[in-house]
Amino acid sequence: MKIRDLKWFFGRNSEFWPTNIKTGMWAWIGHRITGLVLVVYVFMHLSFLSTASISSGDFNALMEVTSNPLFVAMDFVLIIAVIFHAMNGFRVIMFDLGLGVRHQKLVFWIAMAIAAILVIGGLWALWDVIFVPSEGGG
Amino acid sequence: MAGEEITIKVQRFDPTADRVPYWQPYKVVTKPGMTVLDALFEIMNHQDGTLAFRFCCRAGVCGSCAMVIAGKIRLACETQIAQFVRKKELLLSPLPHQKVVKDLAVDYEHFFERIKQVKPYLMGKEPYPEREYIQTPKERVPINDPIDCVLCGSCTSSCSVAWWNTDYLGPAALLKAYRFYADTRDTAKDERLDLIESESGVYRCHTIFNCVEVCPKDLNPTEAIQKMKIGATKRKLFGGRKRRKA
Amino acid sequence: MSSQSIATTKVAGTWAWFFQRLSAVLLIVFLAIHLYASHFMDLGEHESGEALISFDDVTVRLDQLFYIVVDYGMLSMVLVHGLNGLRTVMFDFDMFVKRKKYVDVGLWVVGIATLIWGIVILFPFITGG
Repeated sequence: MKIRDLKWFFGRNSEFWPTNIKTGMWAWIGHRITGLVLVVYVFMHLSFLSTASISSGDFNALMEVTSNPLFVAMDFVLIIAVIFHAMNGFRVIMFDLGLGVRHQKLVFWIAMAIAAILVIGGLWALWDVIFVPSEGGG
Repeated sequence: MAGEEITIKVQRFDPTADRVPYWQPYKVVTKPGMTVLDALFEIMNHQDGTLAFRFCCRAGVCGSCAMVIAGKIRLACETQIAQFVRKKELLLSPLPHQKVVKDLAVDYEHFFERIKQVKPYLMGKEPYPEREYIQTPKERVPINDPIDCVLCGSCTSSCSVAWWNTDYLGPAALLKAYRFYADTRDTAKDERLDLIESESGVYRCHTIFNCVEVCPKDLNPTEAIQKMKIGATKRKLFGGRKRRKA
Repeated sequence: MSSQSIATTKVAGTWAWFFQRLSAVLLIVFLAIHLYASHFMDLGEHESGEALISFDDVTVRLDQLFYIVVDYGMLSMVLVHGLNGLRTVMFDFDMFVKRKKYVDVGLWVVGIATLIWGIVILFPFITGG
């Protein structure tokens, strides 16, 4: 069957989301999305650096731009993606070692709890840069 | 609850006549202990003879009547209507992402083709025993679960990897492979690992656990896949193929 | 899709799978060092005292072989993990499955080209501009 109408995607009991989406499926969707975001990020990271690594002036100018609160807020999104991907990755590796396959939901929530703590830690580290107005461009 | 008139909406599709699937409502008066399959019989016998669905044993043994009932894959013969009616309405649709033959009946051709891939039969070694293979109750423990599989196709059609990658063997075939891999009477362990050790086999499983969520027999195909994955990886990394001699 | 093709397409799934896990674990270690080194470590020679990393800071850091190894190791692991993940995603969604070989060759080319690019990027820091 092809995507012929929106019902295929959004309708109740649609063919695209036919089963109740449970923890494992959410984890997989999240892992996919964050993974693709991170691949894009790595290439962005490299291309930004490549434009800046020519001379010290260029590099310091780039650092000025990226210390803008908007950029740091985007960094925070990046941190969430990395931490989710890493913690869910730990969960997958656990299953690959044969641990906790029978308790997959518990393992997922434990991994997410650790991820939440780490995200809060990241927010704490970035808080000053995002929300405290900087004085004198520093 | 019983004696109430409810609306059963069935997703109908005839590939020779219809362009898109559509929902058709049927009014059914419930009886005590009525299953979804009973309701489908009621519709087919008294209201609409053109409705197509699969059934056979009516007791959850043959695995013919798996379908999406109220948003989740269940066996129609084992599902009580009263349990899943919401606002006097019940939605029925065929197994997701499968080729529909007509209405609720889907094409199992590819499903069984993949089951055959894993050689779903016992491979013994000569000299064969004169009578049956002897197995102690303790030796049977690992296969107590996987032999309950009724091949209803719920797991493979709920697996979001198998939806798109049609080469993937799918949880049903891999569970079947594990059933013989774990069997103490089967002697072709290496050959079984060869069959499932590929990108279309165990390594395509990303532990999404959809198969575990939907299995009407409460089996755990993911655990089976993980065990074979560990076996195959160990063999690849640390050798062990030398056990095979004959 | 025919019954023969599945059994005969024996691609080295084990290695792709195994290195995905190995690189994942290594990446966590590298990432921890990378983040610590670039944002928290005291490099000692902050003449301006400001929080931003300057070109000279990175040069000071990359004087040590350890950090060069970490940065290049991280780059190669990121490429292994990211491109292999991309490959898995593509095949999961049934994209180019019939052209597996071309995909593999293409990803190797992209990976090695990016690795060389990344190695070149850090040269100014290592040589001190």
